[in-house]
Amino acid sequence: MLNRALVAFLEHRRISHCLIGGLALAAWGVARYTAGADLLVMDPSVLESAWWSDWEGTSPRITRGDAEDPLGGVVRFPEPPRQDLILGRGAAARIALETSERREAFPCPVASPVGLMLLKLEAGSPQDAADILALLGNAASLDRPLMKAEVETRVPELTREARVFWTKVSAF
Amino acid sequence: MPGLPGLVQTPSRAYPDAMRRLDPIPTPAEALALCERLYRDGEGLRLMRHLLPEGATDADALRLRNRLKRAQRRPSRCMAEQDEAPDRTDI
Repeated sequence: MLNRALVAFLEHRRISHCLIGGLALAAWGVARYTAGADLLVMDPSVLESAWWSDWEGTSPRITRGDAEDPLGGVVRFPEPPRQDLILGRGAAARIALETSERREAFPCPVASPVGLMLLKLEAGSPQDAADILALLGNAASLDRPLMKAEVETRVPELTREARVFWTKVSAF
Repeated sequence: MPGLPGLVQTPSRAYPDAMRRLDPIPTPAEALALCERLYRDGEGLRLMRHLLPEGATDADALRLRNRLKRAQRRPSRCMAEQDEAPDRTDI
């Protein structure tokens, strides 16, 4: 489902990126339906149309987040399966990119379980809560018994909404 | 407040307990293959079409899924613009 040409394009231009969303969950043993692939970046140059001039595929559709938006922008390749390049904002996105890891069967770095959980705390939906609980449920199998504690140490860096969400989710 | 007889007084542990696997978790390759199968099969979107008027397509179902997903998350205008763009082909 992940477009390897897109990954190669980012690597060639030295844009740090990592897989997030439903496909990234699969890297940590959580398989569920997802409508496409989501890649996280923190470099705003991907929002410039000119930056894609050498891209040989169909031109992406680019939208920019305003000051209130939790995302900096989205570069979408709508052909199925949809590929979204998401320009992250804030601590959760920064940590997710910094702590991303290589995983078997994945052609690019994948957000770590902790990074994914921080992103999902910022997103804040019931599906995100279910994903967090599923990741925490896999902690022992992944030989990462300190997963929940690691999230706890990072939560103070998140937005107020994400901190409140963690209070609710971690009560389970 | 004593609460009503028969009502659960404490949060249920059923969900997190159920999420704790007894069998080995799938390898990344296995889980990735399962995601791929779920996507190609399209059963999830077909089930969602039952919530839509007669004649609705998978594209309509995906649009509904995206709207529900966005409605439950912190609002992102740039993501909404992508999901609602008229030239969508991402099914």
